[in-house]
Amino acid sequence: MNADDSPVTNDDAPRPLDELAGGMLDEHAAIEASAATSLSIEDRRRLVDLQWIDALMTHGSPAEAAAVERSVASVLAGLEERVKPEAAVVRGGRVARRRRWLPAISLSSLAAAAIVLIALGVWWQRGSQQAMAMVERSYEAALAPRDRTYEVTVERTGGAMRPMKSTLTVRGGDKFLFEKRGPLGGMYRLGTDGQGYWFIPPAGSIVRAETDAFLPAWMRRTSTDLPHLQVSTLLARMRDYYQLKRLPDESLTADGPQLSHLRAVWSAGRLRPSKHGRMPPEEVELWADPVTGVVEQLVLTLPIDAGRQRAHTVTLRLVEEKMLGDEAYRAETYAPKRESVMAPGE
Amino acid sequence: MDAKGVFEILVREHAGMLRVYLRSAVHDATAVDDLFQETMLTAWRLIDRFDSSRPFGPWLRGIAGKLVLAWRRQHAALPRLCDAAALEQLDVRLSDVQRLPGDTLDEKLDALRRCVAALPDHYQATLDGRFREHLSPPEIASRLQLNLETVKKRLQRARALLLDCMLGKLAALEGDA
Repeated sequence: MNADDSPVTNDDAPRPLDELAGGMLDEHAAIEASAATSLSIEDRRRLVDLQWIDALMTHGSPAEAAAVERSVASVLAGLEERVKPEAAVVRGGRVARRRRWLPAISLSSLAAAAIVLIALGVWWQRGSQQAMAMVERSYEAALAPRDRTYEVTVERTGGAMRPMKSTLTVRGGDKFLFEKRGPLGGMYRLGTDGQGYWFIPPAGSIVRAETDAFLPAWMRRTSTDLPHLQVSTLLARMRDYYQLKRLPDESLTADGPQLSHLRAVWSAGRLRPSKHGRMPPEEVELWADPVTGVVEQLVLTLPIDAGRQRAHTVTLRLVEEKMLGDEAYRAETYAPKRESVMAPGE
Repeated sequence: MDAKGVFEILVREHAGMLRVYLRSAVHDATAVDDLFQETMLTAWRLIDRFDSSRPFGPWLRGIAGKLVLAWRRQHAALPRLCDAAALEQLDVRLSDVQRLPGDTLDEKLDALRRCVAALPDHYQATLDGRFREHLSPPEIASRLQLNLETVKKRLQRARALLLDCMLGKLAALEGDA
């Protein structure tokens, strides 16, 4: 009989933390957030180290060796699909050569080859195709079911008036919540839960509508006439109606991460108001996370109106990413005791 | 050799290490496959940002880490710690592994194999069931005719001993440097 075949009371006994790790790693027991946060820093580090050892041990198994091969093959197939169109463009239409399957090579030749790769990568990935891919990626990220809150700053022509601040929270392509404090301190809110649209003034009834036709009028009541209340809609318009130009990567803060950056200029003829009377931006600048595509900042430049009363520059800056309940997009959450009325003509 | 050809070599060179990183943080095998593919294709897309004077592995793990955190946010309680601090620690551990002797990950893991070989036989038999044959603890108990609690304790103890052994080898490497 071995020591651990009987109740263990000696120094060889697993530590409580190792038992927790065993539950997670061998029996797939989830660790609750509260349990994770109550661990000391040393315990957390040991737990992560045990996860690392477990993964190293798994790597040695025949099944994992096959999984690595499958993963590599899958990536190479993905590369094949992605490279062909670009290769055709940069090589004047010549067909890309067949992929070469190469054995392991020395580190020095790998380093030399990597330098070639960088040079070619820079050459290939410039231009509007890259900018278009960036917008596509941001569009996909905007459609993800995540709740992102942007601080909205509206500046009017000439800067004579103080910039106005508000917030816009969006989820995917069908839910948003716009909040702005009025001059007397009351809160204006408008939003949609994906089913219907609603507007809550500082006082009075909730106004509801089944379509977005009333949004421009409601926006004007908040003195914030945004052209789009869905980041995903704006990105779709950029893709379809704007000429895109990739700009050098840029950080928005002194020590912040480098972000992908592009400028989109209206290229669909003369700017005309939409059927709801909203003018599209003449120009949009976009900063996005290069890996996830999440929009970090958008700056919209709108045409100057004759009365110089409307927004000229609108900046949306990501301030928070979180998980909200569906109730965050329902009017009754913010005004539970108010009655609802349908918008005129609804 | 064209750019894609070089990238293929980098993919092959770093595939094992990247999967170890992902498996350390993510228990779900399908998610590991997806994150691996997404990481590599993102790396290809962003390759012009890679500073060729720096090692490729940590850069790749930087991309993978962001994707893991995004994946993690969409899931509730999971059987792994995989927050930003955990990912940073895993990155350091894999950079340490990179410094072990050997050209490939398989060669570098000789150190781990020596640690396993130094364990008592009954621990090795339990590890064999768990990692080579992919048996669950009850299946190992049945195979080795042990009670379940004993198998669990052996796995826990063996993993802890392997951790101490590997950390010792990495520390020795540090001392030699």
